[in-house]
Amino acid sequence: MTSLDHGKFTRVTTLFHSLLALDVFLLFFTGYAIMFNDELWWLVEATGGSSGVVAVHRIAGLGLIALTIFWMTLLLITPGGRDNFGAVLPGTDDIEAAVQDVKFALGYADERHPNARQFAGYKADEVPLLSYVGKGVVWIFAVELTLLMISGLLIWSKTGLVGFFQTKASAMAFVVFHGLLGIIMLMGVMFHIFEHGAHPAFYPVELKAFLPKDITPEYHADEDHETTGIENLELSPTWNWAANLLGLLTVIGIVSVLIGSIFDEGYPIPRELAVGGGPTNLLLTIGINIGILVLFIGLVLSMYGNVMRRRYERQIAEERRQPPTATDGGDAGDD
Amino acid sequence: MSGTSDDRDRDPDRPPDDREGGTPHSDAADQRDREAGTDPSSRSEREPVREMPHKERPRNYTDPDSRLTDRLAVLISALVGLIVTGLAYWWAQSQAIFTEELYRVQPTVEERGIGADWVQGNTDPALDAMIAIIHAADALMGLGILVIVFLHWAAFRRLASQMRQPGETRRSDAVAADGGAEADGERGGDAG
Repeated sequence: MTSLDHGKFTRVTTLFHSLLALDVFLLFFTGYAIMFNDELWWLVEATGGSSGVVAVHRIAGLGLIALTIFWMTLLLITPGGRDNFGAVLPGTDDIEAAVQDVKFALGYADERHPNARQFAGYKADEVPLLSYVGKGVVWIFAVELTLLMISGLLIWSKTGLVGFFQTKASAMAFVVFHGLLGIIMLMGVMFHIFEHGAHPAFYPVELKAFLPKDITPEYHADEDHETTGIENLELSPTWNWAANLLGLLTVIGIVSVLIGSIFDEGYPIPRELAVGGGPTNLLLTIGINIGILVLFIGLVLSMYGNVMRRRYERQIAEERRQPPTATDGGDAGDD
Repeated sequence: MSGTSDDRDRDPDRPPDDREGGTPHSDAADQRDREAGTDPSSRSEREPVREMPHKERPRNYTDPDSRLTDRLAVLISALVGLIVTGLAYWWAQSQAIFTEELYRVQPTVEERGIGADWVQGNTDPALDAMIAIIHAADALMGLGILVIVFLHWAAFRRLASQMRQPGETRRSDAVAADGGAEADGERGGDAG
Protein backbone atom coordinates (compact mmCIF):
# COMPACT_ATOMS: atom_id res chain seq x y z
CA MET A 1 0.00 0.00 0.00
CA THR A 2 1.03 3.53 0.35
CA SER A 3 2.64 5.68 2.90
CA LEU A 4 0.26 8.53 3.52
CA ASP A 5 2.74 10.59 5.34
CA HIS A 6 1.70 14.15 4.91
CA GLY A 7 -1.92 15.10 4.81
CA LYS A 8 -2.60 17.93 2.47
CA PHE A 9 -6.24 18.41 1.66
CA THR A 10 -8.96 19.36 4.09
CA ARG A 11 -12.27 17.51 3.96
CA VAL A 12 -13.85 20.33 1.95
CA THR A 13 -10.95 20.31 -0.49
CA THR A 14 -11.19 16.57 -1.10
CA LEU A 15 -14.92 16.87 -1.72
CA PHE A 16 -14.40 19.90 -3.98
CA HIS A 17 -11.68 18.09 -5.90
CA SER A 18 -13.93 15.09 -6.56
CA LEU A 19 -16.91 17.21 -7.61
CA LEU A 20 -14.71 19.40 -9.83
CA ALA A 21 -13.25 16.28 -11.41
CA LEU A 22 -16.70 14.84 -12.14
CA ASP A 23 -17.90 18.14 -13.61
CA VAL A 24 -14.77 18.72 -15.70
CA PHE A 25 -14.86 15.15 -17.02
CA LEU A 26 -18.48 15.67 -18.03
CA LEU A 27 -17.53 18.94 -19.74
CA PHE A 28 -14.67 17.20 -21.56
CA PHE A 29 -16.84 14.30 -22.68
CA THR A 30 -19.58 16.56 -24.00
CA GLY A 31 -17.37 19.41 -25.25
CA TYR A 32 -14.96 17.23 -27.19
CA ALA A 33 -17.78 15.05 -28.44
CA ILE A 34 -18.93 18.29 -30.11
CA MET A 35 -15.51 19.49 -31.28
CA PHE A 36 -14.26 16.07 -32.41
CA ASN A 37 -17.71 14.85 -33.44
CA ASP A 38 -16.25 13.02 -36.45
CA GLU A 39 -13.94 10.97 -34.27
CA LEU A 40 -16.17 10.69 -31.21
CA TRP A 41 -19.52 10.06 -32.89
CA TRP A 42 -20.35 7.41 -30.26
CA LEU A 43 -19.72 9.89 -27.47
CA VAL A 44 -22.13 12.37 -29.08
CA GLU A 45 -24.79 9.67 -29.02
CA ALA A 46 -23.87 8.57 -25.50
CA THR A 47 -24.13 12.10 -24.11
CA GLY A 48 -27.52 12.94 -25.55
CA GLY A 49 -27.23 13.11 -29.33
CA SER A 50 -26.51 16.18 -31.38
CA SER A 51 -28.94 18.43 -29.52
CA GLY A 52 -28.82 16.82 -26.08
CA VAL A 53 -25.05 16.95 -25.85
CA VAL A 54 -25.12 20.76 -25.96
CA ALA A 55 -27.69 20.89 -23.15
CA VAL A 56 -25.63 18.54 -20.98
CA HIS A 57 -22.53 20.63 -21.69
CA ARG A 58 -24.33 23.82 -20.65
CA ILE A 59 -25.68 22.28 -17.45
CA ALA A 60 -22.19 21.01 -16.57
CA GLY A 61 -20.84 24.47 -17.46
CA LEU A 62 -23.22 26.10 -15.00
CA GLY A 63 -22.08 23.52 -12.45
CA LEU A 64 -18.50 24.57 -13.09
CA ILE A 65 -19.35 28.24 -12.54
CA ALA A 66 -21.08 27.38 -9.26
CA LEU A 67 -18.14 25.27 -8.08
CA THR A 68 -15.55 27.86 -9.04
CA ILE A 69 -17.37 30.78 -7.42
CA PHE A 70 -17.89 28.67 -4.29
CA TRP A 71 -14.20 27.91 -4.14
CA MET A 72 -13.07 31.50 -4.72
CA THR A 73 -15.42 32.74 -2.00
CA LEU A 74 -14.17 30.07 0.39
CA LEU A 75 -10.56 31.09 -0.30
CA LEU A 76 -11.38 34.71 0.44
CA ILE A 77 -13.48 34.36 3.59
CA THR A 78 -11.53 31.69 5.50
CA PRO A 79 -8.15 32.33 7.12
CA GLY A 80 -6.94 28.93 5.93
CA GLY A 81 -7.97 29.84 2.41
CA ARG A 82 -6.06 33.09 2.52
CA ASP A 83 -3.00 31.24 3.83
CA ASN A 84 -3.29 28.71 1.06
CA PHE A 85 -3.22 31.50 -1.48
CA GLY A 86 0.32 32.22 -0.34
CA ALA A 87 1.17 28.55 -0.82
CA VAL A 88 0.21 28.80 -4.48
CA LEU A 89 2.66 31.60 -5.29
CA PRO A 90 5.63 30.23 -7.22
CA GLY A 91 9.12 30.75 -5.83
CA THR A 92 12.71 30.07 -6.78
CA ASP A 93 12.37 26.69 -5.03
CA ASP A 94 9.95 25.64 -7.71
CA ILE A 95 12.38 26.43 -10.51
CA GLU A 96 15.07 24.51 -8.65
CA ALA A 97 12.64 21.62 -8.21
CA ALA A 98 11.91 21.53 -11.95
CA VAL A 99 15.62 21.58 -12.78
CA GLN A 100 16.33 18.87 -10.21
CA ASP A 101 13.51 16.75 -11.67
CA VAL A 102 15.30 16.82 -15.02
CA LYS A 103 18.55 15.84 -13.30
CA PHE A 104 16.78 13.09 -11.35
CA ALA A 105 15.17 11.68 -14.48
CA LEU A 106 18.56 11.63 -16.18
CA GLY A 107 20.30 10.09 -13.18
CA TYR A 108 22.34 13.13 -12.12
CA ALA A 109 20.50 13.65 -8.83
CA ASP A 110 19.78 11.09 -6.13
CA GLU A 111 16.32 12.26 -5.16
CA ARG A 112 13.60 14.65 -6.18
CA HIS A 113 13.52 18.17 -4.78
CA PRO A 114 11.10 18.63 -1.83
CA ASN A 115 9.00 20.91 -4.05
CA ALA A 116 8.63 18.08 -6.57
CA ARG A 117 8.16 15.20 -4.18
CA GLN A 118 4.92 13.24 -4.32
CA PHE A 119 6.18 10.57 -1.93
CA ALA A 120 7.66 12.38 1.05
CA GLY A 121 8.10 9.49 3.47
CA TYR A 122 10.34 10.30 6.40
CA LYS A 123 10.94 13.75 5.00
CA ALA A 124 7.31 14.81 5.06
CA ASP A 125 8.16 17.94 7.04
CA GLU A 126 10.20 19.31 4.14
CA VAL A 127 7.45 18.96 1.58
CA PRO A 128 5.34 22.04 0.83
CA LEU A 129 1.56 21.97 0.35
CA LEU A 130 1.91 22.05 -3.44
CA SER A 131 4.64 20.74 -5.69
CA TYR A 132 5.86 22.91 -8.53
CA VAL A 133 3.58 20.93 -10.81
CA GLY A 134 0.69 21.42 -8.40
CA LYS A 135 1.21 25.18 -8.43
CA GLY A 136 1.32 25.17 -12.21
CA VAL A 137 -1.91 23.16 -12.30
CA VAL A 138 -3.67 25.64 -10.00
CA TRP A 139 -2.55 28.67 -12.03
CA ILE A 140 -3.35 27.15 -15.40
CA PHE A 141 -6.72 26.00 -14.09
CA ALA A 142 -7.48 29.48 -12.76
CA VAL A 143 -6.66 31.26 -16.03
CA GLU A 144 -8.21 28.56 -18.21
CA LEU A 145 -11.43 28.26 -16.24
CA THR A 146 -11.94 32.03 -16.22
CA LEU A 147 -11.50 32.30 -19.98
CA LEU A 148 -13.54 29.15 -20.63
CA MET A 149 -16.45 30.36 -18.52
CA ILE A 150 -16.46 33.80 -20.16
CA SER A 151 -16.17 32.46 -23.70
CA GLY A 152 -18.70 29.74 -22.88
CA LEU A 153 -21.27 32.26 -21.73
CA LEU A 154 -20.57 34.44 -24.79
CA ILE A 155 -21.22 31.62 -27.23
CA TRP A 156 -24.30 30.48 -25.31
CA SER A 157 -25.98 33.77 -26.14
CA LYS A 158 -24.51 34.54 -29.53
CA THR A 159 -26.38 37.76 -30.14
CA GLY A 160 -23.87 39.88 -28.25
CA LEU A 161 -20.98 38.58 -30.30
CA VAL A 162 -22.81 38.80 -33.59
CA GLY A 163 -23.87 42.37 -32.79
CA PHE A 164 -20.38 43.40 -31.78
CA PHE A 165 -18.59 41.97 -34.80
CA GLN A 166 -21.50 42.60 -37.22
CA THR A 167 -21.20 39.08 -38.60
CA LYS A 168 -22.63 35.69 -37.71
CA ALA A 169 -19.26 34.08 -38.35
CA SER A 170 -17.86 35.75 -35.21
CA ALA A 171 -19.92 33.40 -33.05
CA MET A 172 -18.26 30.45 -34.75
CA ALA A 173 -14.84 31.99 -34.12
CA PHE A 174 -15.59 32.12 -30.40
CA VAL A 175 -16.91 28.56 -30.38
CA VAL A 176 -13.61 27.48 -31.93
CA PHE A 177 -11.64 29.63 -29.47
CA HIS A 178 -13.53 28.01 -26.58
CA GLY A 179 -12.71 24.52 -27.84
CA LEU A 180 -9.07 25.27 -28.55
CA LEU A 181 -8.67 26.82 -25.11
CA GLY A 182 -9.99 23.69 -23.46
CA ILE A 183 -7.40 21.61 -25.33
CA ILE A 184 -4.72 22.93 -22.97
CA MET A 185 -6.73 21.74 -19.99
CA LEU A 186 -7.56 18.46 -21.69
CA MET A 187 -3.85 17.74 -22.22
CA GLY A 188 -3.05 18.91 -18.71
CA VAL A 189 -5.67 16.66 -17.14
CA MET A 190 -4.31 13.66 -19.07
CA PHE A 191 -0.89 14.40 -17.56
CA HIS A 192 -2.50 14.86 -14.14
CA ILE A 193 -4.04 11.38 -14.42
CA PHE A 194 -0.67 9.89 -15.32
CA GLU A 195 1.15 11.85 -12.61
CA HIS A 196 -1.11 10.69 -9.80
CA GLY A 197 -2.01 7.26 -11.16
CA ALA A 198 1.40 5.93 -12.16
CA HIS A 199 3.62 6.95 -9.24
CA PRO A 200 5.22 3.66 -8.16
CA ALA A 201 4.68 4.33 -4.43
CA PHE A 202 1.03 5.22 -4.85
CA TYR A 203 -0.08 3.16 -7.88
CA PRO A 204 -2.91 2.84 -8.86
CA VAL A 205 -3.97 6.17 -7.37
CA GLU A 206 -2.41 8.72 -5.07
CA LEU A 207 -4.79 9.07 -2.14
CA LYS A 208 -3.73 12.48 -0.86
CA ALA A 209 -6.51 14.16 -2.78
CA PHE A 210 -9.13 11.77 -1.38
CA LEU A 211 -8.16 11.25 2.25
CA PRO A 212 -8.88 14.36 4.30
CA LYS A 213 -6.10 15.71 6.49
CA ASP A 214 -7.84 14.75 9.73
CA ILE A 215 -7.78 11.01 9.07
CA THR A 216 -4.47 10.82 7.22
CA PRO A 217 -1.97 8.76 9.21
CA GLU A 218 1.14 10.67 10.10
CA TYR A 219 4.64 9.63 10.84
CA HIS A 220 6.68 11.87 13.09
CA ALA A 221 10.36 11.22 12.80
CA ASP A 222 12.39 11.45 15.98
CA GLU A 223 15.57 11.66 14.01
CA ASP A 224 16.81 12.79 10.65
CA HIS A 225 16.61 10.23 7.91
CA GLU A 226 18.89 10.27 4.92
CA THR A 227 16.26 8.92 2.55
CA THR A 228 12.54 9.25 2.19
CA GLY A 229 12.27 5.55 3.01
CA ILE A 230 10.90 4.62 -0.41
CA GLU A 231 13.29 1.64 -0.45
CA ASN A 232 11.12 0.03 2.24
CA LEU A 233 8.07 -0.10 -0.01
CA GLU A 234 7.43 -3.03 -2.31
CA LEU A 235 6.69 -2.29 -5.93
CA SER A 236 3.39 -3.64 -7.22
CA PRO A 237 3.92 -6.55 -9.65
CA THR A 238 1.67 -4.89 -12.21
CA TRP A 239 3.20 -1.43 -11.94
CA ASN A 240 5.74 -1.84 -14.71
CA TRP A 241 3.39 -2.63 -17.58
CA ALA A 242 0.52 -0.58 -16.19
CA ALA A 243 2.62 2.58 -15.83
CA ASN A 244 4.18 2.11 -19.25
CA LEU A 245 0.77 1.51 -20.82
CA LEU A 246 -0.78 4.54 -19.13
CA GLY A 247 2.25 6.63 -20.15
CA LEU A 248 1.91 5.48 -23.74
CA LEU A 249 -1.84 6.13 -23.82
CA THR A 250 -1.30 9.57 -22.26
CA VAL A 251 1.31 10.55 -24.84
CA ILE A 252 -0.82 9.26 -27.74
CA GLY A 253 -3.85 11.06 -26.32
CA ILE A 254 -2.05 14.37 -25.89
CA VAL A 255 -0.44 14.26 -29.33
CA SER A 256 -3.73 13.25 -30.98
CA VAL A 257 -5.92 15.96 -29.46
CA LEU A 258 -3.20 18.50 -30.23
CA ILE A 259 -3.05 17.44 -33.89
CA GLY A 260 -6.83 17.10 -33.97
CA SER A 261 -7.23 20.65 -32.67
CA ILE A 262 -5.20 21.91 -35.61
CA PHE A 263 -7.10 19.92 -38.26
CA ASP A 264 -10.55 19.84 -36.73
CA GLU A 265 -10.87 23.57 -36.21
CA GLY A 266 -13.95 25.40 -37.42
CA TYR A 267 -12.58 28.87 -38.06
CA PRO A 268 -12.12 30.22 -40.67
CA ILE A 269 -15.40 28.45 -41.41
CA PRO A 270 -14.53 25.88 -44.07
CA ARG A 271 -16.26 25.58 -47.42
CA GLU A 272 -16.65 21.83 -46.94
CA LEU A 273 -19.36 20.36 -44.80
CA ALA A 274 -17.02 17.62 -43.59
CA VAL A 275 -14.54 19.50 -41.46
CA GLY A 276 -11.00 18.36 -40.81
CA GLY A 277 -9.73 14.83 -40.55
CA GLY A 278 -12.92 13.17 -39.47
CA PRO A 279 -13.69 9.53 -39.85
CA THR A 280 -11.57 9.42 -42.98
CA ASN A 281 -8.47 9.93 -40.88
CA LEU A 282 -8.22 6.63 -39.06
CA LEU A 283 -5.07 7.28 -37.06
CA LEU A 284 -6.46 10.53 -35.67
CA THR A 285 -9.75 8.83 -34.88
CA ILE A 286 -7.98 6.09 -32.92
CA GLY A 287 -5.66 8.57 -31.19
CA ILE A 288 -8.43 10.91 -30.05
CA ASN A 289 -10.43 7.95 -28.76
CA ILE A 290 -7.36 6.86 -26.81
CA GLY A 291 -7.29 10.36 -25.29
CA ILE A 292 -10.89 9.92 -24.18
CA LEU A 293 -9.96 6.49 -22.80
CA VAL A 294 -7.31 8.16 -20.63
CA LEU A 295 -10.02 10.48 -19.28
CA PHE A 296 -12.23 7.48 -18.51
CA ILE A 297 -9.32 5.89 -16.64
CA GLY A 298 -9.02 9.13 -14.67
CA LEU A 299 -12.72 9.07 -13.87
CA VAL A 300 -12.46 5.46 -12.66
CA LEU A 301 -9.38 6.27 -10.56
CA SER A 302 -11.19 9.25 -9.03
CA MET A 303 -14.07 6.97 -8.05
CA TYR A 304 -11.62 4.34 -6.78
CA GLY A 305 -9.95 6.99 -4.62
CA ASN A 306 -13.30 7.73 -3.02
CA VAL A 307 -14.01 4.03 -2.50
CA MET A 308 -10.65 3.71 -0.76
CA ARG A 309 -11.46 6.73 1.42
CA ARG A 310 -14.79 5.22 2.40
CA ARG A 311 -13.17 1.90 3.26
CA TYR A 312 -10.47 3.61 5.27
CA GLU A 313 -13.00 5.71 7.20
CA ARG A 314 -14.91 2.56 8.07
CA GLN A 315 -11.71 0.84 9.17
CA ILE A 316 -10.84 3.76 11.44
CA ALA A 317 -14.32 3.77 12.93
CA GLU A 318 -14.04 0.06 13.71
CA GLU A 319 -10.62 0.49 15.26
CA ARG A 320 -11.97 3.22 17.51
CA ARG A 321 -14.76 0.93 18.71
CA GLN A 322 -12.35 -1.88 19.54
CA PRO A 323 -9.75 -1.80 22.36
CA PRO A 324 -6.47 -0.32 21.15
CA THR A 325 -4.17 -2.88 19.58
CA ALA A 326 -1.33 -2.39 17.16
CA THR A 327 -2.75 -0.29 14.38
CA ASP A 328 -1.54 0.52 10.94
CA GLY A 329 1.49 2.66 11.06
CA GLY A 330 2.57 0.98 14.27
CA ASP A 331 6.11 -0.13 14.57
CA ALA A 332 6.97 -3.52 13.17
CA GLY A 333 10.22 -3.90 15.00
CA ASP A 334 12.07 -1.30 16.94
CA ASP A 335 12.36 2.35 16.16
CA MET B 1 6.79 -11.73 -40.00
CA SER B 2 9.36 -12.76 -42.59
CA GLY B 3 11.74 -13.88 -39.84
CA THR B 4 9.19 -16.27 -38.44
CA SER B 5 8.41 -17.74 -41.79
CA ASP B 6 12.11 -18.21 -42.53
CA ASP B 7 12.59 -20.07 -39.31
CA ARG B 8 9.64 -22.32 -39.58
CA ASP B 9 9.70 -23.04 -43.30
CA ARG B 10 13.40 -23.19 -43.82
CA ASP B 11 13.22 -24.56 -47.31
CA PRO B 12 9.87 -24.33 -48.96
CA ASP B 13 11.36 -25.69 -52.20
CA ARG B 14 12.29 -28.99 -50.63
CA PRO B 15 10.07 -31.79 -51.90
CA PRO B 16 7.42 -32.94 -49.47
CA ASP B 17 9.04 -36.28 -48.80
CA ASP B 18 12.24 -34.70 -47.52
CA ARG B 19 10.48 -32.88 -44.74
CA GLU B 20 10.12 -34.36 -41.35
CA GLY B 21 6.71 -32.84 -41.43
CA GLY B 22 6.32 -33.18 -37.66
CA THR B 23 6.44 -29.71 -36.27
CA PRO B 24 3.76 -27.75 -38.10
CA HIS B 25 1.60 -30.82 -38.12
CA SER B 26 1.62 -31.46 -34.39
CA ASP B 27 1.43 -27.72 -33.68
CA ALA B 28 -1.81 -27.62 -35.52
CA ALA B 29 -2.98 -30.74 -33.74
CA ASP B 30 -2.14 -29.25 -30.35
CA GLN B 31 -3.96 -26.08 -31.26
CA ARG B 32 -7.03 -28.07 -32.24
CA ASP B 33 -6.87 -30.03 -29.03
CA ARG B 34 -6.66 -26.83 -27.03
CA GLU B 35 -9.54 -25.29 -28.88
CA ALA B 36 -11.63 -28.37 -28.44
CA GLY B 37 -10.68 -28.44 -24.79
CA THR B 38 -9.61 -32.08 -25.14
CA ASP B 39 -7.74 -33.66 -22.32
CA PRO B 40 -4.11 -34.20 -23.40
CA SER B 41 -4.21 -37.71 -21.92
CA SER B 42 -6.79 -38.78 -24.46
CA ARG B 43 -4.64 -37.57 -27.31
CA SER B 44 -2.66 -40.78 -27.69
CA GLU B 45 -5.80 -42.69 -28.41
CA ARG B 46 -6.90 -40.28 -31.11
CA GLU B 47 -3.58 -39.80 -32.85
CA PRO B 48 -3.52 -42.78 -35.21
CA VAL B 49 -7.10 -42.12 -36.24
CA ARG B 50 -6.29 -38.52 -37.06
CA GLU B 51 -3.36 -39.38 -39.33
CA MET B 52 -5.01 -42.12 -41.30
CA PRO B 53 -6.78 -40.22 -44.09
CA HIS B 54 -3.62 -38.23 -44.96
CA LYS B 55 -1.02 -40.93 -44.69
CA GLU B 56 0.06 -40.57 -48.31
CA ARG B 57 1.39 -37.01 -48.03
CA PRO B 58 2.30 -34.50 -45.28
CA ARG B 59 -0.64 -32.41 -44.32
CA ASN B 60 1.05 -29.06 -44.56
CA TYR B 61 0.74 -29.31 -48.36
CA THR B 62 -2.82 -28.81 -49.41
CA ASP B 63 -2.03 -29.28 -53.06
CA PRO B 64 0.51 -32.05 -53.72
CA ASP B 65 1.57 -30.47 -57.02
CA SER B 66 2.32 -27.08 -55.49
CA ARG B 67 5.55 -26.03 -53.85
CA LEU B 68 3.71 -23.73 -51.45
CA THR B 69 3.28 -24.87 -47.90
CA ASP B 70 -0.01 -23.94 -46.28
CA ARG B 71 1.75 -21.62 -43.86
CA LEU B 72 3.58 -19.76 -46.63
CA ALA B 73 0.37 -19.48 -48.62
CA VAL B 74 -1.39 -17.93 -45.63
CA LEU B 75 1.45 -15.47 -45.11
CA ILE B 76 1.52 -14.41 -48.76
CA SER B 77 -2.25 -14.01 -48.83
CA ALA B 78 -2.20 -11.97 -45.63
CA LEU B 79 0.52 -9.73 -47.04
CA VAL B 80 -1.37 -9.19 -50.29
CA GLY B 81 -4.52 -8.46 -48.32
CA LEU B 82 -2.77 -5.90 -46.16
CA ILE B 83 -1.10 -4.17 -49.11
CA VAL B 84 -4.35 -3.90 -51.06
CA THR B 85 -6.14 -2.63 -47.94
CA GLY B 86 -3.40 -0.05 -47.45
CA LEU B 87 -3.68 1.10 -51.06
CA ALA B 88 -7.47 1.31 -50.74
CA TYR B 89 -7.10 3.36 -47.55
CA TRP B 90 -4.58 5.68 -49.22
CA TRP B 91 -6.88 6.19 -52.19
CA ALA B 92 -9.96 6.78 -50.06
CA GLN B 93 -8.04 9.05 -47.72
CA SER B 94 -6.37 11.31 -50.23
CA GLN B 95 -7.63 10.70 -53.74
CA ALA B 96 -11.38 10.34 -53.59
CA ILE B 97 -13.61 13.38 -53.99
CA PHE B 98 -16.25 13.73 -51.32
CA THR B 99 -19.76 14.67 -52.25
CA GLU B 100 -19.86 17.00 -49.26
CA GLU B 101 -17.35 19.19 -51.01
CA LEU B 102 -19.23 19.08 -54.31
CA TYR B 103 -22.58 20.17 -52.94
CA ARG B 104 -21.45 22.93 -50.59
CA VAL B 105 -23.02 26.28 -51.45
CA GLN B 106 -20.11 28.44 -52.42
CA PRO B 107 -19.97 32.17 -51.83
CA THR B 108 -21.11 33.71 -55.10
CA VAL B 109 -20.45 37.39 -54.73
CA GLU B 110 -17.33 39.12 -53.48
CA GLU B 111 -18.89 42.05 -51.66
CA ARG B 112 -22.61 41.37 -51.32
CA GLY B 113 -25.08 38.60 -51.86
CA ILE B 114 -25.03 34.96 -50.86
CA GLY B 115 -22.02 34.22 -48.71
CA ALA B 116 -20.96 37.82 -48.21
CA ASP B 117 -21.39 37.45 -44.46
CA TRP B 118 -19.36 34.24 -44.63
CA VAL B 119 -16.53 36.06 -46.37
CA GLN B 120 -16.65 39.04 -44.04
CA GLY B 121 -16.74 36.94 -40.89
CA ASN B 122 -14.02 34.64 -42.11
CA THR B 123 -11.60 37.44 -42.86
CA ASP B 124 -11.85 39.47 -39.65
CA PRO B 125 -8.22 40.11 -38.64
CA ALA B 126 -9.07 40.29 -34.90
CA LEU B 127 -10.81 36.90 -34.91
CA ASP B 128 -8.05 35.45 -37.06
CA ALA B 129 -5.43 36.67 -34.61
CA MET B 130 -7.40 35.26 -31.66
CA ILE B 131 -7.49 31.80 -33.24
CA ALA B 132 -3.82 31.98 -34.27
CA ILE B 133 -2.78 32.91 -30.73
CA ILE B 134 -4.76 30.09 -29.13
CA HIS B 135 -3.35 27.60 -31.66
CA ALA B 136 0.15 28.72 -30.71
CA ALA B 137 -0.70 28.45 -27.01
CA ASP B 138 -2.05 24.92 -27.58
CA ALA B 139 1.10 23.85 -29.38
CA LEU B 140 3.45 25.41 -26.81
CA MET B 141 1.56 24.08 -23.81
CA GLY B 142 1.15 20.70 -25.50
CA LEU B 143 4.88 20.36 -26.03
CA GLY B 144 5.52 21.53 -22.47
CA ILE B 145 3.04 19.01 -21.10
CA LEU B 146 4.62 16.24 -23.18
CA VAL B 147 8.05 17.15 -21.77
CA ILE B 148 6.68 16.99 -18.25
CA VAL B 149 4.96 13.65 -18.95
CA PHE B 150 8.24 12.14 -20.11
CA LEU B 151 10.05 13.73 -17.16
CA HIS B 152 7.67 12.11 -14.70
CA TRP B 153 7.72 8.82 -16.58
CA ALA B 154 11.50 8.70 -16.24
CA ALA B 155 11.42 9.88 -12.62
CA PHE B 156 8.82 7.23 -11.75
CA ARG B 157 10.99 4.53 -13.29
CA ARG B 158 13.93 5.67 -11.19
CA LEU B 159 11.78 5.76 -8.05
CA ALA B 160 10.48 2.28 -8.86
CA SER B 161 14.03 0.99 -9.15
CA GLN B 162 14.71 2.26 -5.62
CA MET B 163 11.79 0.27 -4.24
CA ARG B 164 11.81 -3.39 -3.29
CA GLN B 165 11.04 -5.35 -6.43
CA PRO B 166 7.95 -7.58 -6.41
CA GLY B 167 8.86 -11.00 -5.09
CA GLU B 168 12.15 -9.78 -3.71
CA THR B 169 12.80 -11.65 -0.47
CA ARG B 170 12.02 -9.66 2.59
CA ARG B 171 15.04 -8.50 4.40
CA SER B 172 13.32 -9.03 7.70
CA ASP B 173 10.57 -11.22 8.97
CA ALA B 174 9.00 -8.31 10.75
CA VAL B 175 6.42 -6.85 8.42
CA ALA B 176 6.92 -3.16 7.89
CA ALA B 177 3.54 -1.55 7.97
CA ASP B 178 2.80 1.35 5.69
CA GLY B 179 5.23 4.08 6.50
CA GLY B 180 6.62 1.95 9.28
CA ALA B 181 10.25 1.14 9.74
CA GLU B 182 11.89 -2.20 9.23
CA ALA B 183 13.62 -3.92 12.07
CA ASP B 184 16.89 -4.55 10.28
CA GLY B 185 16.93 -3.05 6.83
CA GLU B 186 19.98 -3.66 4.77
CA ARG B 187 19.62 -0.80 2.39
CA GLY B 188 17.72 1.51 4.65
CA GLY B 189 20.26 1.35 7.41
CA ASP B 190 19.17 4.76 8.56
CA ALA B 191 15.59 3.66 8.77
CA GLY B 192 15.70 1.66 11.95
